[in-house]
Amino acid sequence: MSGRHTGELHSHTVEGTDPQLHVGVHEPQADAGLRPVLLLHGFSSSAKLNWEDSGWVKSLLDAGRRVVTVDLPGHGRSGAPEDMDSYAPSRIRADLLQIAVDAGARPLRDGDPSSGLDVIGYSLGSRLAWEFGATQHELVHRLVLGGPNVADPLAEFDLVAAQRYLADGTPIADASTAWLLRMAQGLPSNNIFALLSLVEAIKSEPFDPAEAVPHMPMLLVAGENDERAASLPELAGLGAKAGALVEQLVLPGRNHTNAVTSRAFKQAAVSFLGV
Amino acid sequence: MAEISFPLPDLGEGLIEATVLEWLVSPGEQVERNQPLVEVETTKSAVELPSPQAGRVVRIHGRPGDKINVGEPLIVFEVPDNTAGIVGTVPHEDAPKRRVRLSAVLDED
Repeated sequence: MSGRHTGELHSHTVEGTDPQLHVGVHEPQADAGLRPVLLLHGFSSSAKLNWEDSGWVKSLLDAGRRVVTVDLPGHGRSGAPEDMDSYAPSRIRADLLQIAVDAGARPLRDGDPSSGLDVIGYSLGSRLAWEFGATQHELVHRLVLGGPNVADPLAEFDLVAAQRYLADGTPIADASTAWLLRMAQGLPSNNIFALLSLVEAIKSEPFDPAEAVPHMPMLLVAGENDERAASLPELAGLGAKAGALVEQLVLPGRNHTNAVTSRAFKQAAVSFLGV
Repeated sequence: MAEISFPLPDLGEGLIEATVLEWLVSPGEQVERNQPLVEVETTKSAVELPSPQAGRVVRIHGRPGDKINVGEPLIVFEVPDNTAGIVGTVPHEDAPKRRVRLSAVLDED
């Protein structure tokens, strides 16, 4: 793999506590002189699975982009704090802002292509990117949102049933809850109790895309066989109403899991952000 | 010229098979080491496999949707005879992170 890799546990305190988030900064061999790209992975995934093993980091480095990855709390190589506040989406967005600034992102300036920050999210990462873009319009230049939702499937998660299942194996009635928990348990690197804390925190701050809408250009992407593809027009409508330039891309034959590696997805993102 | 066959590598986490999603190279094509070859999907995630070898692609195994077991042939390369022997010694690009000083302390045993 090309480029220099530095991994670090993010140690800047935010509002007095250390978020313990693992940050990776990947430098391109030939820098295109454009702003850094921040990558936000999905629930129960990690920077490695969502962005490195899938070929995204390499694609962006080959395009001369500086790439910043971060593992969400309780995921990948990040810590799994015990306090619920660490998992609140609003708190995570504050942590992301600190990480972006520490990685060298500076507010957008007219005529300076190295200013600002591009953000690519997938699934839960797209929710965070949507809200981050809406609240950080002086920093965020463009957004690419993969497998985005209009509602939050995690907000419907049956925590009580999940905890009962983990305690004594009582089957989970709700199919979506059972699927999410199976996915969360599938990876040894996941801290299952931290992931449940994240779910609980998300339930207290469910996603409402209409509450704050990003104004910057955005590319919405989903697999044709991903039920979330249906949310693209709705999000596009919200964005357009707010004055954003919105492009949509549906990936033929792909679902929520395997859209991630799609070459067409990467090429579209690299070209959309390459301005 | 010699042919070198590469099997589907061990993808970790006890996975024994993967489904081909899309080939990114085709027979006849010259590829570089680390160039993405194919996208495959396991029960846990989708991954892009980089080429372990530079060479010309002779054959690829599995169409989109086909399952391949770990260890079964994935791709065959044609390489010049004199490079066929070095397979397995993958050069490492990264600079060493840590310098180890070998200071002989002969008196201590």
